[in-house]
Amino acid sequence: MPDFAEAVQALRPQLLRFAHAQLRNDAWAEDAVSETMVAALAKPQAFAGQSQLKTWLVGILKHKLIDQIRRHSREVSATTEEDREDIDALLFDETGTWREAPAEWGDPEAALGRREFFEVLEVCVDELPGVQGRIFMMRAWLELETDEICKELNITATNAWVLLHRARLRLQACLQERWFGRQPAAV
Amino acid sequence: MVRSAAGRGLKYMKFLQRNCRQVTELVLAGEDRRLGWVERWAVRAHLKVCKACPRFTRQVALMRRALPRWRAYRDSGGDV
Repeated sequence: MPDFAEAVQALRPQLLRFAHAQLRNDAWAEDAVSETMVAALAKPQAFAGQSQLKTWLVGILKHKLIDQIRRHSREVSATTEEDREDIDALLFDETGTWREAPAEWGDPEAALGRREFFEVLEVCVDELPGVQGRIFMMRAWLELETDEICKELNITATNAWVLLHRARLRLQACLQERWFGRQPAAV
Repeated sequence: MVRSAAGRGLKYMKFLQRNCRQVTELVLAGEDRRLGWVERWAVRAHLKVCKACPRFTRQVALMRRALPRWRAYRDSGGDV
């Protein structure tokens, strides 16, 4: 089935981008994508057109990414300067009060019904720095539980919560800046 | 030892008192683990008297709804 192989190959760059966003390591991302291609091309009958080709491939890729994370579980948790940045100190004063109150985002469906919103959200997730980006993706995209993430990244639960907390704050700040802050005022 | 009802009320308030920073932390922690009952009451008490934190909490709720749809969008190549 040469058409099938071509179609699979055509999606390689996208898969590589996803793999890199999750692993933040060129060699591991290449490995995960290669394994995905091999698995997909070995079993074209498993696809059987029951879903979109991309959805099917991403499903395989996710398993390969989890394999990679497990394989390298001892090497991956060095936090960066950005991970250590205390976002809360920027948002709150010494008494723990908001320096600037959060904005009203309005009717959720107004945003969630729009494709452009998800494009912005995607950019915001991709830009999450360091280990917090990886952890957030493991949680929100690979749908791993927190205790599994701690085990694979060899970090404490407290550490994971701090990083997830910072990732979520960054994400909300990013959406405020790039989406909600640019919409007509909420009611 | 506090005996009066007002005194007990005060003690009760102190016990549940959290600032915005602490409440924000609990609200976000609630996305990843189940909060204890003291934590839940403390959040509830704070949200009743704070103008800013309920907005933050609504932002978190929107994110909770958005993330599964983002996953579907990302994985399928752009369908919302």
